[in-house]
Amino acid sequence: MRNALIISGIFHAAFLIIAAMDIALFDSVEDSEMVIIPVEILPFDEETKTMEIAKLPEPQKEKPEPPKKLPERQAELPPPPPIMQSSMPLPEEAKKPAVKPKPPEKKAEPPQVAQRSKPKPPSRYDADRIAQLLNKVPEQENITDRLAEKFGQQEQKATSLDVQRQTMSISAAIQKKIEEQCWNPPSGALDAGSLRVKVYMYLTLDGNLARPPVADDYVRMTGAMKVAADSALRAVRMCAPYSDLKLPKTMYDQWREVILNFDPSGMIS
Amino acid sequence: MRKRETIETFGRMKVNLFKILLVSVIGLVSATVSANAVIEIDITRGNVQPLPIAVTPLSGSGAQMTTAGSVMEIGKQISQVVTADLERSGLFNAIDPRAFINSDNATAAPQFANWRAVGAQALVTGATILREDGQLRVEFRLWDVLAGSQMAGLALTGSPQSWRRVAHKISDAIYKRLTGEEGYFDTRIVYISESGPYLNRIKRLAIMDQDGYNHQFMTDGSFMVLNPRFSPTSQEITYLSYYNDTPRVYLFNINTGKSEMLGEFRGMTFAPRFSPDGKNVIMSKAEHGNTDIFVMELATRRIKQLTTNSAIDTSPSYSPFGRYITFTSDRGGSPQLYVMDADGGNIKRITFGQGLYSTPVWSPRGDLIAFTKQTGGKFYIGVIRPDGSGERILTESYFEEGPTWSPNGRVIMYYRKYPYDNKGGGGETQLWSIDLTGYNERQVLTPLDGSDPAWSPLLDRR
Repeated sequence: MRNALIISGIFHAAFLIIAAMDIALFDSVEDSEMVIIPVEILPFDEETKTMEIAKLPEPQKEKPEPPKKLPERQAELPPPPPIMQSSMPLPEEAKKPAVKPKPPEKKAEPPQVAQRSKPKPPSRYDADRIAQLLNKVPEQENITDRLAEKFGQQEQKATSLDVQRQTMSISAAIQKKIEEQCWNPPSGALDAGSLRVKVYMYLTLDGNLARPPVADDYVRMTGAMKVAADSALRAVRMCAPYSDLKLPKTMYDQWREVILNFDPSGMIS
Repeated sequence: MRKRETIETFGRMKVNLFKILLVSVIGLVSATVSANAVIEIDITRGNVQPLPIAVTPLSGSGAQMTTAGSVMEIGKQISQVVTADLERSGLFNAIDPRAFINSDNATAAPQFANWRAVGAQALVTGATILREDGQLRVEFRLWDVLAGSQMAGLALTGSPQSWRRVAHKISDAIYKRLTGEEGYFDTRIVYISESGPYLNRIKRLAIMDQDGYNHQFMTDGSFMVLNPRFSPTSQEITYLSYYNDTPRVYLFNINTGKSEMLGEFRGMTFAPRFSPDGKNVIMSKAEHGNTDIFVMELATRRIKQLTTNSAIDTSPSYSPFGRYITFTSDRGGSPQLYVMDADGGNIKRITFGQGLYSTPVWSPRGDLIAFTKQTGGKFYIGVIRPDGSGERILTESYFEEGPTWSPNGRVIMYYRKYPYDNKGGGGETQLWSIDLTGYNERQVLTPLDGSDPAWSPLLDRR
């Protein structure tokens, strides 16, 4: 009996010691994990990470470079706070940037709720967790939707800006070549400065003329107007091929057909 | 309960489906729009340069002889005249025939790649053919080298001796097709040919083609002549002659070679010029120290006084349609330019700048008035709009005056006099021309000194 009491006492003591040590270990583990989470989130100020977290990988694959080229786009990024919340359920990603220590205020609160429930009996734990999940899922879905919407809009804006920029650059390249190398406007006519001509230019993917350029209303033109149209058509032909401009093939739809408005009013009075 | 959940779930699915559909439609529309997007570019700058043109020797038989040489030789000479005409205009850069890769046969389509290779943008080909009746048929075609298409084609027939005029007509046709303006190559210049020492200058009326060929003297120099002016038909010339030491306006018929005096007036008449319809001659008449402007109806020889001011009113010139007259008057204290209605009313001064303005001449296009300006010890030829705006100086020198317009209003000819030097030299007078842009100033070569030129209308209007 005595031996039994001693053994029982040793086991109890051992149990208590182990229990005490376990609790301390769990706490430390939780703390260490909790430190990591916000560290990953706080530096979230780049669009590339935004895409990852928002699970929008496709735009990233298509356009990996634009953020560097277009710093203005960063100004349109949504503010960080909502993104921090959405990143919470992604622990694997949270561990990666653990190197960077960051402000500790907000990082402890949300995990604590989940951690304290762990030691509780499974039934209660499950109920709480389910309740939390039930409460959070819609919220998370909303946030994700909102993020997706925002990022979608942002991506659309970015794409639209990108297209605009590339279009402008294509226009500028064609304009520069024709103006500097090819257009010899007729200056002899009485109203030479007012002879404006619209020419349609059709290009192949490799920058050649797909078919002869066409001047708007050419068949009805006579005299000086026809001469002005001829000079514009000559310029388009003389500048061909446009392969040296290295027009982006991905945007061929944009420059397959180009309208050129020849207007000498600024140079011939 | 389950039913309600099912309904809610179904409702949510409907909303999601609607969203998906909406996004798809928007995507499709934007994709379509983007696929149809067309870049529109404004081209607002260019380089105004002479157009590179290749004029091939017109083909022809070397065996066929005419009074003006072999048909082949005439064909070559026509090409040379056309080349010279176009180059002199300053608007074309004729490519040296030595650079030609091949000479195309006039009857076949040119090898455009060869002409593109030598930098030609326009090409002239053609042929000369001697007909059985002895007339020369000259065909030519103007090609757009870059487009590989014909721009103009013409066949002209004339005597072999008239090949120079044929060449000028070809030049006019090319010029018109490539500039949009009428040409001015088939025209003539009448001017005062000068020779001899300063104090005993011999002045003769002379006429020549605009390129200086076919030169002829129309008076023998026994009396002084001034102010020759063509009639709109080009068959008659008015001029001032000091015949019998009395300055009078005369009318000279080019075809008959005869002159007649225009009216017998007291005083002196000078500065004659035809009205655009050729029915009237407007001139100045000086009497009792006052000079005014008069107009004479040629059919009746009746005259009408248009100005009555006590100042000197002179150098009248009609606007192209005869509605207005520009002239010089010192009624404001110094010689300035004025514009009035053809009946003498509504007189307006149009120059207010520093300097003395004289010899105004209305452009055949009607848009400008050319004038001589004297200021700061120099003379200038300039142009100004009829409303007095846009004065622009084209050229300056020690002494120059007497502008005259090419019939297309694009080129101005005038004469320039050089100062005498201490060694008894200098004093030459020369004819010069300049483009309305102020570029392409060229001397017009004459056998002797030349002054006071007048440009004829196009000869084919006869």
